[in-house]
Amino acid sequence: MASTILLVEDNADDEDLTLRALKKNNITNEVVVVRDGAEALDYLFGTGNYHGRDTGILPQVVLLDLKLPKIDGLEVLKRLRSDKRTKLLPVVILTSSNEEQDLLRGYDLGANSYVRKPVDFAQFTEAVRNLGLYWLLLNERPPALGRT
Amino acid sequence: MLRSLHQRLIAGGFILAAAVLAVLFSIAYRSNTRFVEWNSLTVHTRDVLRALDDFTSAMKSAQIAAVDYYTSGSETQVQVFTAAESRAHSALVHVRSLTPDNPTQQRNLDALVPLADKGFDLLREVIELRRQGKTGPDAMKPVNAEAKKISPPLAEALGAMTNEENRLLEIRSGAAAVAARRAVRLQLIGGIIATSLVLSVFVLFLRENSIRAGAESQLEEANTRLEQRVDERTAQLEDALAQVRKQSEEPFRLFVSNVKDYALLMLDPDGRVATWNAGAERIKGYRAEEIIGQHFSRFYTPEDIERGKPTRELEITAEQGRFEDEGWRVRKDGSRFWANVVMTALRDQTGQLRGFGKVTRDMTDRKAIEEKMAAQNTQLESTNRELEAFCYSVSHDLRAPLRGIDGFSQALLEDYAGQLDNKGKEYLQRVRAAVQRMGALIDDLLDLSRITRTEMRREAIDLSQIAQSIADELRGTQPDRTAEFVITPGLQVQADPRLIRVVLENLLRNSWKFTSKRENTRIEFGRTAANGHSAFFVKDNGAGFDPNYSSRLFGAFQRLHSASEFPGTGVGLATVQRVILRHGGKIWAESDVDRGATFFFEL
Repeated sequence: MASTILLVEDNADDEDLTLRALKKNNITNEVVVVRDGAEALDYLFGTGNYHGRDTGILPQVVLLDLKLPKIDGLEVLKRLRSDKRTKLLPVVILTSSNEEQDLLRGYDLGANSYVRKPVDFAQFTEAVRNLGLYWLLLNERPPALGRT
Repeated sequence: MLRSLHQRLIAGGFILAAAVLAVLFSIAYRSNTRFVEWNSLTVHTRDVLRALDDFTSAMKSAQIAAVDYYTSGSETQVQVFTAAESRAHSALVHVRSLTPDNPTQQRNLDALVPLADKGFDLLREVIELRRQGKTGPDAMKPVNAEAKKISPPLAEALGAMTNEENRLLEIRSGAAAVAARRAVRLQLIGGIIATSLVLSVFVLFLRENSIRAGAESQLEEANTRLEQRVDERTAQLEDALAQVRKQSEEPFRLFVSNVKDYALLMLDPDGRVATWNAGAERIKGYRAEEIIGQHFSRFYTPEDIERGKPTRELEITAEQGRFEDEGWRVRKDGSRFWANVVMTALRDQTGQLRGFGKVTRDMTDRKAIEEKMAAQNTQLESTNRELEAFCYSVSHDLRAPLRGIDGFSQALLEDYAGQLDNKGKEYLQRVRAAVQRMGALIDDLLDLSRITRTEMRREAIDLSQIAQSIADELRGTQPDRTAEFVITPGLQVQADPRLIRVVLENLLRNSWKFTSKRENTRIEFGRTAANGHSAFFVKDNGAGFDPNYSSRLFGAFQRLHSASEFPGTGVGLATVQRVILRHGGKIWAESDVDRGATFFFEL
């Protein structure tokens, strides 16, 4: 079973571009897209619309945008880190903001990585490629997160 | 001189008197001694007379005893006779021992003793006669005849001795009396002299005393007169001094009384108002006659009076020499005003506190203005913050769609390359380019806003080091370019390190950019003295700018060159200026077209 990527992104354009970038880089893992913070939590904890999902299976990495409706990115991160099941889940914050405050809070709340979304699409593609390579291939998953 | 003679006379007199007394005493002493001598001689003579007397009576007793025995035959009479004889002999021996130094008496004695012996022999004969029983009337005749023969010479000798002694007695007792009289007389004289000496001393003493008393009272009188004169003089001088002082104080008094903007008043050491001026009347509302003598605490608010502020401020002023304060004060009509008060302790040359000087300024107007300004400031600050928050969120949200435009343009280019002619591709490229530019603009805007928002830290930083590292970075971006960086080392300043780095980056990057068309780039960074202060400068030999437009140089998004000539958003210098201003410094530039540019800044 291939590992999944959870993309938490409210912007449809950004979503398409991200998927496009992933495809261009031959990253073929399943990408689950959720549109807001609430949906992200539902998915990960198997609640709401995702009731019944096997919560033992968690994505390899979560690409988390910060500016989200309903529940924003940092709040999602906070809840992930406070739950035993998702405490060790690799989360990459992928956002336009490079405000020092957000950086600080992101890392403080337990993000594993912080990548800024560039405007230039070429650069964006490059960024996605790097992310994919690293998190999906190079990085070792934390143990006891379910079967792959 | 006279006194000395007088004293010498007195001294001489005393010495003389003492000498006289001494002489008298010695004479008296001698007289006394002589009297004692004559007296003892007199006693001696009487002893002799008594001894002679004893002899006479002893002889008579013997005579009687012998005759008695002759008549009575009583044996006791014999004993009596023996005793009397013995007595008579003792007496004569005694006389002899008493008169060894008198040859007359010794001769007399020599005559008497044998006669006495003969007498006693005759008497013993008488006794013998009786013992023999020869008591007839003629028995005694021979004895009697003998007795008659010796008794006149015996009596004569005895009488001679007695007379001699009497004669001596008379002489001696007379001499003794004389000596006694003499001694008494001398002692009397001596006594008189001594007494008169003492009296004269006493008199002299009294006289001296009275003289001295006289002199003393004269002196006292003279003193008193002198003191009076001194007092008069002093009073005169004081008057003169007061006059002079008054005259020299005239200008000051004029000054104080006329000043209306400040209350200039004096307090006595207890805090009561001593002087007043026009300014005090204007500010506090009291007239001079109604406030002088009152305690200055009435200018304070009731709360301050309760807390003991007036007294404490006086104490501090006295201790430290001055005291400054701002606070509410109360006017005569009860209204309050904001006052700036300076109190000074007034001390004279001996250091004694004479009072306090008080300068009060009515700051109510200024305070109102200050409060308004403070309110305006707060208003401005909050407006600023709002604007910046707005700025931030807008620029942030603007990025996302840009990404979309760029991304999908690229997607078009890639996926539909076949269906696009060159023109179409070109259009898409231009779309992408525009998007890039907008992204850059937004980034710069964000940076600019961040510069203003972040907290500034001031620390010692080495500008030269920062400039050098930026220069190295720039060189790294175009390693093939010939570029010369002249950086003065060791230029230090107190400033925020991150912000200053932004300044130098912008300035040096600009210089790098505008010298890119030159063959040999030369960029300098150093310090110079300009306008009398020292300022840092960044100088390049690049394209320069038209000085006529230098007022637009630091405006945000203002550019003096087209983007085709030199790329840029026009925010760099605005950022630099913002930083310099935040440090309280200045920035300006000098240039001419094609002659390079120099940017100066002070911090």
